[in-house]
Amino acid sequence: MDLVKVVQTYIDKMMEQASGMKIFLLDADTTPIVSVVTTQSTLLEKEAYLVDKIDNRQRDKMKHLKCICFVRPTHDSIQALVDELRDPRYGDYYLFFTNVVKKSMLERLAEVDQHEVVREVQEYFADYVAVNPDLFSLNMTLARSSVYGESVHDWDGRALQRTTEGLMSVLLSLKQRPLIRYERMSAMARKLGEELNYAIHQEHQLFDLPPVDTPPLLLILDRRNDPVTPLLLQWTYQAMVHELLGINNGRVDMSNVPDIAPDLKEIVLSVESDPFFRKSMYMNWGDLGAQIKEYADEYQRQHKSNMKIESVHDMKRFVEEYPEFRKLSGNVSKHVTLVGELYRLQTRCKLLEVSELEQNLACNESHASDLRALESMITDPKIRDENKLRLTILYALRYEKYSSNATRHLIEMLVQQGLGERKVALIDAILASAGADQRQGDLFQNQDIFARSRNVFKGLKGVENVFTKHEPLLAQTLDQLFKGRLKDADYPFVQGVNRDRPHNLIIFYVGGATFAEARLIAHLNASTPGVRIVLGGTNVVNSASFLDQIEEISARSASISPLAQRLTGHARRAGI
Amino acid sequence: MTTRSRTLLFLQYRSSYTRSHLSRAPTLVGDSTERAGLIQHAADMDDRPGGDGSTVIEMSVLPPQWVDTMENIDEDMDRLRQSIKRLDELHQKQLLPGLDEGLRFERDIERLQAEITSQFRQCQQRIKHIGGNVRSPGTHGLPSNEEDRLGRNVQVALATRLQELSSMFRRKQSSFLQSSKGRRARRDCYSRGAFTKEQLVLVEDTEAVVAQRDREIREITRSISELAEIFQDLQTMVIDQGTLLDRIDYNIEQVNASTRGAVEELTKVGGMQRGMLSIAYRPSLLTVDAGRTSI
Repeated sequence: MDLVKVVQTYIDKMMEQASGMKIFLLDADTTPIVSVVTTQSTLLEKEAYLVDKIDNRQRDKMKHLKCICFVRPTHDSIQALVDELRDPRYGDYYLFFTNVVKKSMLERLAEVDQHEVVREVQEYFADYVAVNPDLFSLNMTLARSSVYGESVHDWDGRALQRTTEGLMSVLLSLKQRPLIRYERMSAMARKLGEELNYAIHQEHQLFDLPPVDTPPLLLILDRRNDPVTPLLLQWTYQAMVHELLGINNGRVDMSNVPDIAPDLKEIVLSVESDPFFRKSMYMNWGDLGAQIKEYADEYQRQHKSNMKIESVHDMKRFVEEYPEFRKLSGNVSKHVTLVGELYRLQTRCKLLEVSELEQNLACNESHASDLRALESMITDPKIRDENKLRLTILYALRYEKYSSNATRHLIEMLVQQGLGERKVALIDAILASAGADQRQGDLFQNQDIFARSRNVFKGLKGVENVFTKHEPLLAQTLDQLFKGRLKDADYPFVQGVNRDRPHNLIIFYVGGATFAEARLIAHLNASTPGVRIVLGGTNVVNSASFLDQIEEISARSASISPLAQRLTGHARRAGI
Repeated sequence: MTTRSRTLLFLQYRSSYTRSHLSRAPTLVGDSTERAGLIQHAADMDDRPGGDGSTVIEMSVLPPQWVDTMENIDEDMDRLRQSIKRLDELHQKQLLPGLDEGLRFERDIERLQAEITSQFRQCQQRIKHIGGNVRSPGTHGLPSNEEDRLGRNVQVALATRLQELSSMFRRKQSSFLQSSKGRRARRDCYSRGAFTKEQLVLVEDTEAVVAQRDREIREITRSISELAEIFQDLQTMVIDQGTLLDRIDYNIEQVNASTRGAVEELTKVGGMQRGMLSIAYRPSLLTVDAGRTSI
C-alpha cells in the first residue's frame, strides 16, 4: 500500500499507451497529483516532451504529437475536452480520468469526436495527492473550497461529493473494499461513511475483489475530536517545516527568508527525489541537527577533493563524480538553508519555551503553574501573537471544565497586548466547535478521578523529551483498535461488523490530518509487522490552516441568521 | 490498482453518432454549416469527418524538420551502446590470464575507444541542432513558441540520455584501468625474488607487455579527458533533477505565465487599435448627431 508508487505506476501505464512524441495535458486537480510523484525529467524519458493545462487555449496545432489527457471528470474539464475534440490539435488522444466517468459525459465526448481522434478512454483511480508513501491529501484547502456547509456539523455539498470520490479512488487504487467505522461525535464522519458505502454499492463491479479473511477497515475521524495535535509546535522535520513555513504540494516558499539566494526562494521537499529528506523527514530536531552536519561534512569532503585537481587522475574522478556532486551540493545548500531558517525562527520567537508550555498544557494537569507560565508568556514581547493565541486556546481547551478557569482573564490580557477581536474570538469559536461537549472520549484524560491519577503518573515518568511528550489522540485510538477494545458504540460500523484486527487500515480525517499523525503512522508501519496503514485527510493542516478553517466557518455561521439558514437549507435540499 | 476501460463504450457511442450524422448527410456537420457557404474550401479542410487528410496536407501535420535528426541520434545512441558493450567484452578478455593474448586485443581496444569517443562527439553535435535555431538552452528565458519548447525539451531528454551513456562508459573505462593497474602492481611484486632461467625470459616478455599497458592506460586517460569536454557541454543542457526546475507544476506555471503575457500583449494591442478606431469614427458620429439635431 505505497500510495506514491501506486500513482507513479498509473502515470507510467498512461505513458506506455502511446509510443513516440507526446504531449501530456492536465487540469487544475491532476497537476498537483502528478507533480508530487513524478518530475519533468522522468516524463521526458517517457517521451512526453510537453506538459500543459487542458484549459490553455493558446496551444498550437501539432498533429505529429500524440496527446495523453489526465483529468478529473469535473464539469470544467469535460467542457475543456469537448472544446479540444471539436477541433483537435493533436493526432491521437488517450483520455484518462481520475474517477468514474458518467455515461452522459462519455456520450458528450463521443458526440464531438467526429474526427475520430480518441484511441483510449480509461478510468485510472489516482484521485488524490500522494504526499508520502502512507499519507494522502484531497487538497481541499480553504482557498479552493471549504469542507463545511453552514456549521461544523454539515458538509458543503460539493465537498462531500469530492471527498466521497477521493476516498473511493483511494480504495480502488489500493484494491480494498473495507468495512467503514466512524467517530460517533461527528455527523460529518457518519454522513461521509454512508455516502461512501452507497457509492461502493453503486459501483459494485469495480469493487468486485477476491474475498479476504479479515476485511480491511476504513476509519473516518473528525479533526474536531482532537483539536490539540494541530495546535502544537512540531519538532520533527517534515511537520516542523509545514508548521513554520508551510509545505504546499511538496513546495516550500522561502521568499521571506532574510538574504535568501535567488535559486532557493522556492524549494522542493520530495520523498521521491530527495534521499536526504526521505531519511530525515521523521527525525526530531536534535537528530536532524546532527544529520545535517554530517551531510554538510560529506559535502565539504567531496568539495575539497574536487577542488584539488592536479593530475589527470583527479580530473577523471571529478568528471565522474561531478553529476552526483552537483546534485549533492544543490541538496546540501537547500537543507542547510532550510534548517538554518527553522533555527532562526526557533531562537527569535522563543519557540522552545513556547513548546514546553504547549506540551505541558497538552499532557499534564497543573493549573496554577500553567496559568502563571502562560501569563508571563502573554506579556513577553519576543513571543509572537500567534503563539500567545494558540497557548491560550490550549489552556481554554484543557481547563474548560476546571472550576477556577481563567480564560476570560487571559482573553483580556491578550486584548491588552494588542490582539484583534477577530483573533481573540477564535478561542470561543474553538470551544464551541471542538470543546469538551463536542468531543467524545477523554482527550485530556482529566474527566474522572482515575484518568486524572493516570495522568499524574504519566507526568512523573519524565524520561521523554519535554518537546515531544504529546502523542496524537490517534495513537490511543489505534492502540484500542488493535487490542480489539475500540467500542462499537463510540466507533459504529456503517454496515456489517467485524472486530478482528484488520491487516489493512485506512484512516481518514474530516477537517484535515497532520504531519504529526503521519509520522505516527509511518512509525507504526515500520514497527508493526503484518499491518499496513494509510492515513489521509481532506487536507494536511498546520496550526494556521486549522485555525483559519475554524475562523471561516464561525464567521459564516454567525452571519447566517436562523431564518436564512433554514432557507438555504431548503434550497440545498431542493438541489438549487 | 484498479483501472477500468471505457473505450468500447465510447466507441459504441461514437459510432452511433456517426451513423446518425451520416443519415443526415449531405447537410454538413457541426459548426461547419455556418462557414460552409462563406469559405467552402476551408470548411472542407478542417471538418472532413474522420478525413484521411490525403488530399489536403495541413502544415501542423508535418513534424518539425529536426525529427529526422532525432531519429538519427536514436540510432547513433543504439550503436554507441553496442560499441560500449563490445568494448566491455574486449576488456574482459584482455584481463584474462595469459599475457600474450593481451597484445592481441590491444589494437582492437584502442580502435574501438577512438570510435566510441568520436561517436559521442557526433551525438553531442547532432543534439545541438535539435530544435532548429532555438537559442539559449538555459532553463530560464522560456521560449514562447511551443514548437521551440518541444524542441528544447527533446534536446534536454536526448542530452540526459547521452550523459547517462557517457558516465556509464567512463565508469567502465576507469574500472578497466583500475584492474589493469592492479595486475601490473601484482606482477611487479612477483618479479622480485629469485628466478629460474625460464622465468627470467618470461619477465623480459613481461617488460614489453608492461610498456604496452602503460601506453594503454595513457590512451584511456586521454579519451576520458576528451569525454570530459563533451560531458561539460551536455551538462548545460540537462535539468538538475529534483529541483524546482524539474517540477511539472512549476513548468506549467512558467508556460502559462509566458502565454498570459503574450495574451496581455495582444489585448493591449487590440485595445490600442480599438482606441484608434473609436477616434477615427468619432467625427462621423458627430456628423450623424449633427444631422439628427438638424431634423
